[in-house]
Amino acid sequence: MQAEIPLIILLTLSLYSLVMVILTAVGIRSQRRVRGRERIITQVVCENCGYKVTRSFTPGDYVGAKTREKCPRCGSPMRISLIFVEKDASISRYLFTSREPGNAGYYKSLIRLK
Amino acid sequence: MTIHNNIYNVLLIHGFFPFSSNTSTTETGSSLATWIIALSILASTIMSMLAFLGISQGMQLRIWKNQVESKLRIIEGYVREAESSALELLKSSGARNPQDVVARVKDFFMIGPVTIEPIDIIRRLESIIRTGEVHIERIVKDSLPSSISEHILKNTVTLLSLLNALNTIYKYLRHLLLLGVKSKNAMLVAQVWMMMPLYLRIAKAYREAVNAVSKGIPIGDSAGPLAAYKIAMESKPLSKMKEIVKDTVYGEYNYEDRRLIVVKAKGPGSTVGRPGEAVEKLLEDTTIASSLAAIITIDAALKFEGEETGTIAEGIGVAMGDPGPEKIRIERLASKLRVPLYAIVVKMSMEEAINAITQNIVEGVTKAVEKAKRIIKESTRPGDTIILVGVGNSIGVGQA
Repeated sequence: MQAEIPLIILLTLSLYSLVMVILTAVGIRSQRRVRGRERIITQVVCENCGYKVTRSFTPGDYVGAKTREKCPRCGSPMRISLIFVEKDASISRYLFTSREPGNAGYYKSLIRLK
Repeated sequence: MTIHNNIYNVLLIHGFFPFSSNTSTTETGSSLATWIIALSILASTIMSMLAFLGISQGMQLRIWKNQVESKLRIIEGYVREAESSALELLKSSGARNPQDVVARVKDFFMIGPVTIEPIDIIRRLESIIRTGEVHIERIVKDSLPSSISEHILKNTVTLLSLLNALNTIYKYLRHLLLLGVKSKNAMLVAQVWMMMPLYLRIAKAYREAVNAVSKGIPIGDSAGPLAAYKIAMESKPLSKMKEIVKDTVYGEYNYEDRRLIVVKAKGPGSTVGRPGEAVEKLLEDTTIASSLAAIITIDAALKFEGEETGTIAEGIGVAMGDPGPEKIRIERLASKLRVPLYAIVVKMSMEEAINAITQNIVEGVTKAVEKAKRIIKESTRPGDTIILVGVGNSIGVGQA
C-alpha cells in the first residue's frame, strides 16, 4: 500500500506540470495575432452608366482620378470611386470568430461581456 | 486503505518528519516524495529570506528590464524600417542629400505655448503649429526637384512625421528604462514594463502607416474627406472645387434646392488642410453668412473597445481632432451667427485611423453621407445654405 502513495503524488505533480504547459501554450496562442491576407482594392466606376469594376490597387491610384480604362458596358471613361483594404480571414480564424450559428465565435459571443 | 489515509500517512511520516526513522518502512518512491517536499520547504524558506533582503526585488527588476529591452529592440527595428522607407521615397523622387533631410526631421520638435497665461493661447499655438508645418515642408521641398508633384511632397512630409513620432516613442521609453535602472527605481521600470504593450501597439500602428502613406493609399482618417467627396459627387455641381486657403478646397453644389458648400483638405496628397480658416473665409461672403442654416462636420472618431469599426454616430458640435485653432474658429462663427453645428463621426480604432482604409470604414462613410443628407433635409429649408466639412487627412482622396 505504501508504494501507491508516491505514485499519487508523482501523478499529481505530472498533471500539474501538464496543465501549466497547456495553459502557457494557450496563452501564447491567444497573444499571437492571427491575420488574414490583405488586398488593396481599387473600385472604378463608369461616369456615364455607373457600371462598377474592382481591380488591384496600382501606385498612382487615388479617389477621383480619371483612369485610362473604358467602361466594358458602354465604352465611356471611368473614374476611381473607392480604394480600400479587403481582409481575407483565414478559415481557422473564421471558425473561431464568425458569429454565425455553428461556429465557435457564435457561442463565445453569447458568453462574452461586450 | 482509502486515499485519505494515504494522504494522512504522507503528511505524518514524510512531511512533518522527513528524516525520521519511520522512513525505513517506506520504499524507494516514498523517499523521493520526501525529498520533493523537503526541497520545496527549503526553496520557499530561501525565497522568503531573499524577499526580506530585497534580492528578489532586484531579480524582478532584472526580469522587467530584460523584457522592456526586448520590446525596445522591436521598436528600434520599426524606426530603422521607417527611416529606410523615407530614404527610399526621397531617393526615388530625386532628392538631394536625403540623409540630411531625414536627420533634420527625425529629431524635429515643437515647443508648446506658455499655458499659465491663457490670453492669446490659441493664436500662439496656431503660430507654432503652422510654423512647424511650413518649416518641415520647406526642408523637404528644397531637397526635391521643382518638377515633383505636390501630393508626393505631402506624402513624403507625412512619412517623415511618422519617422519622427516613432523615434520619439523609442527615445522616450529608452530614457525611462535607463533612468529607472540607473537610479535603481524598480517602480519606474515596472511602470514602463506595464505600459509597454500599449506603446508597442502604438508603434506598430505607426510602422504599418508608413506602408500606406508611402503608397498614397487612403487611411482611416480619410473618412471625412471621402464623405465630402461622395456627397459632392452625388449632388448637382454649381462650381468646380477650388483652393480657398492653404491645402483646403471648397465647391458649391445644389442638393434638394439648397446651396451646399463642401469643404475638404486638398487631395490626393497627405494633408488635413485648414478647415477652420476655410469656413471663416467663406463666411466673409455676406450672401453665405446671411442664408447659412447649418454647419455639418464629418470626421473619424476613436471608438470605445467593444464598438464595431465603421459604426456612425451623430451629435452636436464640431467633429475635429485638431489641437484647437481650427475647431475654435468654426465654434466662434457658429455662436456669432447662431447657426447649429451638427457632427457625424465614423468610429474606428487608433490603428485603423492611421492605416489603410478598410471595407468597414468605407461602409461607415456611406452611412455618414446618408446621415448628413437626412440632417440637411430635416433641419434646413429650400433656399438655405449649408456648409459641410469633411474633416481629416485627404491622402488618396482627390477632388470631385
